[in-house]
Amino acid sequence: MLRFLARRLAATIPVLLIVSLLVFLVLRLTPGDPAAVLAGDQASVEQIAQIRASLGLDRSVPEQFVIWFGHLLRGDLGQSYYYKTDVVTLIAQRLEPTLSLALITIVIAVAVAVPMGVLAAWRFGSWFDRALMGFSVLGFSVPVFVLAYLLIWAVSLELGWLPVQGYRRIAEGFGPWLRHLVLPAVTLSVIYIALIARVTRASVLDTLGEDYIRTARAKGLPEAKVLKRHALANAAVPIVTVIGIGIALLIGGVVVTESVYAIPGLGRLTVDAVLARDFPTIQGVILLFSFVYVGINLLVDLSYVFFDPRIRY
Amino acid sequence: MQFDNPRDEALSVEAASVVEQPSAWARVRRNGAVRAGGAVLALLVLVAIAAPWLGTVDPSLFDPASRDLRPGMSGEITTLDGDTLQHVFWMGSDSFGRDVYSRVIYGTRVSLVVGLSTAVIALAFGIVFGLLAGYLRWVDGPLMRVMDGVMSIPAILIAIALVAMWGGTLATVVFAIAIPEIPRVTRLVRSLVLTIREEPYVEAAVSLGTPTPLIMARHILPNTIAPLIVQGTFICASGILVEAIPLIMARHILPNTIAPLIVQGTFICASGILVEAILSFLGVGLPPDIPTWGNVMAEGRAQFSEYPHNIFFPGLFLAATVLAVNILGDGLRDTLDPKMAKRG
Repeated sequence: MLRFLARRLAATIPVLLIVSLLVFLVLRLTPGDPAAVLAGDQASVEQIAQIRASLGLDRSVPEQFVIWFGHLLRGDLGQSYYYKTDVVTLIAQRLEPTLSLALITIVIAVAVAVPMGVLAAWRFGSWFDRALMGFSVLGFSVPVFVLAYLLIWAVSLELGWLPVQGYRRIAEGFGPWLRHLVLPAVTLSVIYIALIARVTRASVLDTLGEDYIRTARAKGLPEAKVLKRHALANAAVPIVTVIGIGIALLIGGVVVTESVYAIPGLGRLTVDAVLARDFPTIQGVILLFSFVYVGINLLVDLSYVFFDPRIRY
Repeated sequence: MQFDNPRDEALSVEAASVVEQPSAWARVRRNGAVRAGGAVLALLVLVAIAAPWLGTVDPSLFDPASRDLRPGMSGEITTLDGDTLQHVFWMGSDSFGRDVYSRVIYGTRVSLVVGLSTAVIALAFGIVFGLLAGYLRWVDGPLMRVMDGVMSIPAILIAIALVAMWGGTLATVVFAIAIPEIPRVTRLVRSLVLTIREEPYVEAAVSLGTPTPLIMARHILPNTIAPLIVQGTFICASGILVEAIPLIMARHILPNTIAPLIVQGTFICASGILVEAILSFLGVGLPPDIPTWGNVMAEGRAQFSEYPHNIFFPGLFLAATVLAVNILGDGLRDTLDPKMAKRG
């Protein structure tokens, strides 16, 4: 197990290195002089040259990468062109809303999608199964922001049940925090539900054809127990895998959802940074999201041991 | 049926066992999802082509007197020559006084072009990279590691960053959306090539001393994707041309090799249309005066609570288009790629 862990961790290092290199190149290939941008409009040529030297921009590109990567390892993502603060500080300030939104979304998605997928597989070919598959195709097709506006219009504007936009920090109270996040999380969870429900259904459908299911039924086990203890438990690995893969989808959704609901999180920061051509911030956010994605999929790989005791590393 | 001798009986059994299997194209044609998705898509293509004759005006025309009209209201629109036309705003107007209906109808063009080009570009690059990685061992490792790297950055972030870097033109937006899709196609083609390179005819070519580029061009490429390129690279036209390719190709090689590519191309097309709309909506896509569904929605954001139609009409078109392409893709997958279909 430990050896596997070491190998698996080692395997992520080249991926993270390549991601860093790609992200670094994005900034280097951008037209414009970062030093001039950082110095501002009133800066003299000397000041710009000084900033350039302090950033190491007067050296060769490989050297610059080594310097930049060294800073990265020490947790220094550079200075934002636009906000004139450390990118790390900027990201830290925006972390709470995004984390809250993502967590609530995952909880809703898993709580809804897994039971629905199991039910659809159990009643394969029934109206419920067909409805779920139809919903799943629909969920993939309706754009997040269209759905967001539809929900705002119906729930917030017409019914007036929930706030239209905005965000309250959890420190301001659990109630307001949750009320502001329900709608964005529901919006964001739809595509995730579509994905997870589809895979759950397919995976449970596979296990339901196995001999041990027949045995379990033959010995008179209640159907609910057959589904939970035998069918779902054995179908868990693909489901957990798709939850991990879906994180990429979730991150894309966060960027859009936060913009529509005016949530001051990392997604909103990304869009603002792009609009302001604030490349260090863009780099920082992309790096963070990618590392989170790689990290979560690492955890998913490790969780196989827990979900399927037959797997030994 | 009575038989006088065993030979006749054997022959008849043989004859009976040769059941005419419907060709891949016939199965595709008979599939309900393909028909429904294809029909909606065909309609959208017609709308895109016929945009100028569908009661639209120039989508960039605006008239301050016709600002914020509700759907169905009539108003005026000033042409570039200074003439004033009476015009009914079926989908209302935006805050500049532009006709939302005209913008949505013309937006169909952008979405379809972007979806199609993204699929073609992603497939083209994926095919070349997959071919190289699958056949040349020394390319495989480094290239696939780069692909792993690209795959671990969420697609939409790559697209956003690239558009920010390159600026928003049709070409940059298409490439920005296509690039994150390339690794998946590469992986698919690579896996196809890995099986084909073990075929006897490839071994024979190698033992005859055929140069590697020639083997790739003559033996591997035709069997993986040549039909796809012949087909003008996209599904819409594929069916008609599949008929022209020799029957064996159509019945045996085709379903196993290009079918997954066609299916993947369809899904890339759907996601391309979605991502383009998202980019425009966020203000990081095509310039706001170009009529795209995302741009119409972005413009309608500020006044959403009073004039929801500016968001809902283009949203409806967008959802319907992506839904049609996805349903078409599901149908193609079920009929062309049974192995994949079983997985749901």
